[in-house]
Amino acid sequence: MSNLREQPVPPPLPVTVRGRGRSLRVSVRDGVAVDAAERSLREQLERRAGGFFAGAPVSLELPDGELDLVLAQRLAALLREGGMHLVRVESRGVDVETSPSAPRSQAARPNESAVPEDAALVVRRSLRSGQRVVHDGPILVLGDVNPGAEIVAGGSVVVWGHLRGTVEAGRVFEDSSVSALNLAPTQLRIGNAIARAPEEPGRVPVPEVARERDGAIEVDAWS
Amino acid sequence: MNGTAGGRIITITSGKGGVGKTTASANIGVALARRGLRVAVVDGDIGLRNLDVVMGLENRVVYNILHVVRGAVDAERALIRDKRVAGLSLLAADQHSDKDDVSPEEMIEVCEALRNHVDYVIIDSPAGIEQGFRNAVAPADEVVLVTTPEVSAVRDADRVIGLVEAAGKPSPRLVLNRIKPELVARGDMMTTEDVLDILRVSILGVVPEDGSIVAATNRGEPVALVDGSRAGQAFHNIAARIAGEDVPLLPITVEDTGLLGRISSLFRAGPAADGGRS
Ligand SMILES: Nc1ncnc2c1ncn2[C@@H]1O[C@H](COP(=O)(O)OP(=O)(O)O)[C@@H](O)[C@H]1O
Ligand SMILES: [Mg+2]
Repeated sequence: MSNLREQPVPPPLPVTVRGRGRSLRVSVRDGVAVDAAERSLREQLERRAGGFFAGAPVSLELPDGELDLVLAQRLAALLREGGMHLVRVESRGVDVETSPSAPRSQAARPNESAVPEDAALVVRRSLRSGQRVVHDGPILVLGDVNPGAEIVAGGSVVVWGHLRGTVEAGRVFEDSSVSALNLAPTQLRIGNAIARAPEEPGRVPVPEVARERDGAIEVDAWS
Repeated sequence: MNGTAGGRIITITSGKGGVGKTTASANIGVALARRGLRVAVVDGDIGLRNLDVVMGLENRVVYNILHVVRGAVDAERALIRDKRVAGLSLLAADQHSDKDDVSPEEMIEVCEALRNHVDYVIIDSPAGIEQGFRNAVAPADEVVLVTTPEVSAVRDADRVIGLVEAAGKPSPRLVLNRIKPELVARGDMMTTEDVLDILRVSILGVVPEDGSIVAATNRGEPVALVDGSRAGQAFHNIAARIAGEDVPLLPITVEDTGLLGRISSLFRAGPAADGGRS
């Protein structure tokens, strides 16, 4: 009898995981707390255990509201444990300039030295060829910076995606850096130092941070 | 997506020249018409005028778009009907004029008039991102972007996507043209995945390099008119997708349907498959 009754629709999962071509897309629903999102993703990855997704590139889609990079960090760590690489963090909505007080502390999380004492500009979309973003302080991009796109920042630049365009960081602030989930810029300028990404086709993307040291650009793992 | 009554207006554009916009416009027009739909193909490359040649209708042009803009004739009456395919017609460009002779507003007016008579208005855009491009995109409900798998063409395509989005149009869908499977297999050509990794738009179709296109173009007979060519089949699939059918992409390499295809099919079957927004 009971199976004749209409079954209740299960509530939507806090995090959905979908295949998209050869990559995965992990989306966090609006209003989900960090812990709940983490638990949901862990469960779904465990259910398809056995390293099945190992090596798969992942795009992480955050809710549209206030930017929560702690959430991004924690989910990124989970994905890394599962052998996947996060290639992009996205969050739709308008570009915002964060106030020096509130969300900036979150923006500082992935790389403390990346965000100096000034308001960050958060660009919530990929930058395409011909597009240019200029800001006195740090710039945070949720998405890719494509070849032909250009970023000019007074402070540091953080790209939660594939950086293939041109970046100039540290126009105003010393000790600025440029970090990206995949650091492969056409040209990189920090202070007075200029570098270009070496040609490494087929390279597995690793998050990296570039800094200026004694007039040269040094690149380290960004973790 | 189309808020206005009447047919759907689709602009075919690219940024870079010579990548196959005119070829795509003619063949998509033919393929839609062969599905029984009514199609008006509009040559938006004003001043160059070659869509009529590619479609083999050059010697039948009486009125062109400028006659319509200047009020000499109604848009519908200026259409040249293609006798080979029922429902297919062309609005030719004026080869003696300049692209600045038409404004975006006039282009919108002409296409709005045409959409009352057909299911699809297909506009062939000129190369570049100047006035002619803006004219061609202004009336569009949807933009289809054509590129070849070359760095410079993809770069221009990326630029065009930004401009189309800035114009308040939906994100374009991509036609990847002139793929050479041997080169892709050898790693000497960008793959579909490589191109999509940069452009990040949805794919409408992949058209292989096909020598019969050149021969067909010289005869004024779009490949989609003759059965049996690979490129013709690709354009028929594109037309089917435009018409809303779910047609799988023709595989280009073995790799495209390998392990990673498995991942996506597994997820499609899973409970989370449609849980989020897209
Ligand atoms: N898939 C293809 N295979 C072979 N040749 C092609 C293909 N697509 C286009 N061409 C050829 O490329 C040239 C440029 O195409 P065209 O459609 O005129 O480009 P556009 O309108 O973008 O300038 C033409 O000679 C055409 O025949
Ligand atoms: Mg052309």
